[in-house]
Amino acid sequence: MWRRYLRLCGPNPRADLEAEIAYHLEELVAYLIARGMTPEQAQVEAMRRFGSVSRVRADCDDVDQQSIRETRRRDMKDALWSDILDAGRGLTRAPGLTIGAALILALGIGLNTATYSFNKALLFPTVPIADVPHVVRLWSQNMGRGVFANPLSEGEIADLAASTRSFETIAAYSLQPMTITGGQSAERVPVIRATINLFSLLQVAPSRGRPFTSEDATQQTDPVAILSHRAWQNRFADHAEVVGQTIRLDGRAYTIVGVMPERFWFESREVDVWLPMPYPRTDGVRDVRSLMAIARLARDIPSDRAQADVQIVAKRLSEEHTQSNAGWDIMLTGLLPFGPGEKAFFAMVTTLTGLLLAAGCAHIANLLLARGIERRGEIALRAALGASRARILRQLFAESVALSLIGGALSLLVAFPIILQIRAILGPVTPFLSELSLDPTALLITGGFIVISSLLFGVAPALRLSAITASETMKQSTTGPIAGRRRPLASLLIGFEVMVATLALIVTLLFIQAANNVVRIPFGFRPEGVLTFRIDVPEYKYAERDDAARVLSRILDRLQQVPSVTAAGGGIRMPLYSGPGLPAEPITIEDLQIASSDKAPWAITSVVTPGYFDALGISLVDGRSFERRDDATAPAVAVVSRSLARAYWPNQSPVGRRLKLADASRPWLTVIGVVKDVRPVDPTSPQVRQLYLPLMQGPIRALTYFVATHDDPGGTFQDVRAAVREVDADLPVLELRTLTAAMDDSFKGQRFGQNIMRVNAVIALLLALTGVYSVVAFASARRRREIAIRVALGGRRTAIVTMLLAQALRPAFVGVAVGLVLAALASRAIAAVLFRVDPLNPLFYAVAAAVLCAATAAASCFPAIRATRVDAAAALRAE
Amino acid sequence: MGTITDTTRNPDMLRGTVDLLILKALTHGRQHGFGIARWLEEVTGDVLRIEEGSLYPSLHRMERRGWVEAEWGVSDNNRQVKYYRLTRRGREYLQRESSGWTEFATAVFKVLQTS
Repeated sequence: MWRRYLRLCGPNPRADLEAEIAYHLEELVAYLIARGMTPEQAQVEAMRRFGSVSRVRADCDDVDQQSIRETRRRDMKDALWSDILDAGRGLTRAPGLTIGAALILALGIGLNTATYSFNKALLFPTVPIADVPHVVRLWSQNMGRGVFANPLSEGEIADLAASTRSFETIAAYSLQPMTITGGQSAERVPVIRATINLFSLLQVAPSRGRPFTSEDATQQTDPVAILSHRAWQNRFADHAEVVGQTIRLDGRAYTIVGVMPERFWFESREVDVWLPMPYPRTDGVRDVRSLMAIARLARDIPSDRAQADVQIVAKRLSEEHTQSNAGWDIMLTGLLPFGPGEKAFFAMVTTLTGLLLAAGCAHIANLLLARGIERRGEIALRAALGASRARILRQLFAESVALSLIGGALSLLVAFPIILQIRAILGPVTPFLSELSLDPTALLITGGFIVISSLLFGVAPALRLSAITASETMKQSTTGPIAGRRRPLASLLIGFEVMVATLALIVTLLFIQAANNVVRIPFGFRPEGVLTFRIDVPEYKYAERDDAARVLSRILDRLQQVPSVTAAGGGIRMPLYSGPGLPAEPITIEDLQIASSDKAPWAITSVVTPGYFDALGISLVDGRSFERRDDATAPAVAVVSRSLARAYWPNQSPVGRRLKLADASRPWLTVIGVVKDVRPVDPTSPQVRQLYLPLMQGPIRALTYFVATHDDPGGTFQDVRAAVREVDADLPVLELRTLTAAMDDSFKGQRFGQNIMRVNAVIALLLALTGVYSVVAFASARRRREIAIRVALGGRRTAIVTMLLAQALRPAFVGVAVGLVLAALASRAIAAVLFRVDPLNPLFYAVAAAVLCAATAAASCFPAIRATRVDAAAALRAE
Repeated sequence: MGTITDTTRNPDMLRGTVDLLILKALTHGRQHGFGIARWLEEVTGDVLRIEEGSLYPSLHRMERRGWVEAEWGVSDNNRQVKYYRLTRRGREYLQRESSGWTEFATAVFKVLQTS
């Protein structure tokens, strides 16, 4: 094969052919002369017998060219295959390097892809709404009361629609639960009541039937509804004739006029019915804010122009309608209202993950460079044996590509579980995250990034090498004194990795401390041993409000008779609320002078039953709490929280004093007691001015019950259900669980975020340590000879170790220093989010610095010490 | 039969025939192009006159196919010349094709014999 190759594509196949032809012709002439021709005759006859020389040349050329092409193709295939095998062999020869590098790649790419996909999903949510960037939500805001994003009032929406030019459409809607019957069983489902322009704003239309008209919204006699696709499937079994049928909501009959398309959902996937709502009017209610608003920006209007526009309206409203609007602002957000806290967190995580990726690349680069230098001998040998420079480069290329592919494949194993976790944890809270998937662009970008860098560093040594001739390289021993020369690139890489680790560590510590601070503040109530559930009293069964209140109260009585129950009470919501902001109502305090309208008194109102404070362990500090006698016939009373009392009756007991709610039809309330504050999830929120009203004096249809038990609340579940059944067998017991379990949900998102930070920090630390370790190990291995000589000459071990350490630790310490500075800058930027944590608290910095220094020192010590244990004679001989 | 085997008029069939002849020529041992031409001249009694140049494209092609092997050597008169040798595969091909060719020729002969 070899000979044939040489022969065929030897020095000059054409010259060969010429030689052949020449020989033939000469011999032919000689032969003919021997037969008796004259030289001239022989020439002519020879040419005649031979035939056209040029044609022979051409034909042979064709054949040769074809052969050459075939052989080249076969060689390339062979070469490719052998490259792959070589790459595989090369990688398995240094399994530590391969596994380490592959893992780092996997983690780096995986984490980055997951983070990027997550960010993209949040910034560009995949909701079935057309043209998402131009859709905004409108909120009312009152920072003085700690309300960041709140629904709007009818009047506000009407004024916005009338006075702004920045929006193409503004639609309003509200979400409420109703009991649906008809078609199948009874079920309590969320229903959206919306202005009729909502569908056109979302650019969807019913797939069957028709959308709402303005008559549908205003007339009362023949109410209409539109079903979701799911409701149609479940209740009407896909019957084509659903339009015109009726469905009963809270006992009332609605005619179905349309069905929404299959993939459509809005606000929640559970919404089964859509009802029309008349458009808000400027003479509508202003002091109750219960409407959500969504708007589509007009063409070419950027969102900050719209924001400014909206703020002008808000200012005007606060002047024109002081009672309802003083101190209130209107603002717009994208589809998700993210507070500054969440935004800062996302920014932090993204930056850290990106840095982690960079550190990972640096690490791999380090490893590959080191290995490349080590293999200089091998490369030179190959060059001497005749492998072309292209061939060598190609082989190193193949190794790097193989490594990148392995890392890339593994990264999917990292990214997918993260995405699934996010889906599971945050999906229920933010519906569109339940379909979070890996963003292919993210994969490509991060993958490409890593592939390029690994190629660069895998191939660089060979490139540098081909400048030097083979013999020179072989002469230069790889373990001589010159080899110990400092490699500035390696030092830089170590410094970078250590810096990233320091930064990650400090930021994580700060965040964790802040989170702990949040949790450690006493809630103001005792969740242990308490279970909770909800009851919604349906309107069709209990039409009168008083009837509903009586049912709820009867349930409470039955609960208190259960033997293991120590106290039972109910309220309209969970004590710990983690939404965007509770509706804070204005109140009037008797005999209180208000300085200016934006200092008007306000409170977070809540309705509770007697026993609520006992069940939750909220201590009473003055006066009394509600009792059964505080019913509709008794004088109107209220209980206030300590902050409210201190705010409006600073140096006196508020018991006996009076206040009034915004609703003018309600009478003056006499304060009968003061309880401790219950704090909201966001501890910086000033929403602790809590006002409690007794159940029997308020219009309530739904109640969340809290039942304190002797022993394990889980054991009492059955008794609770039995108690409710006794009062009304049809009432479903909703969301029955322990209070701690319910509260865990509120903190799930936070805990998840913390875990991500922890993972980042740990990985960064590992990277830095392994980086330092490998550099020192490599450097000491290369200086084996020098070390051996020193040991043989009686040099002290510690001096040698110090010398080796210094080389690695110098850049490491610089890295720590730079990391500390960066961390200080970064944490100052997010100080607002770090609850009660001083971002420049020296404790964290000292701890981080100490940990990193100690760890890097330890990581360097092992290989350095091991290097000095070398058998001097053996090392010298091995040259 | 005069100067037949004008390979330009009937390239494929005659190319195949020339191949066979060359292979046969090599069954007696290695030979160079000139030698093959002379052997053919001798055996056929100069009846079959092939353009001697056309031997070379055939030889190169058969080398690619693996039916012959080429190597440089020294001729009887001490000159550098390229020798060709029959390979095992070439021998097998020769056997197959020549029996087929003989059948063909016999059949044609029979037809032409009937008057």
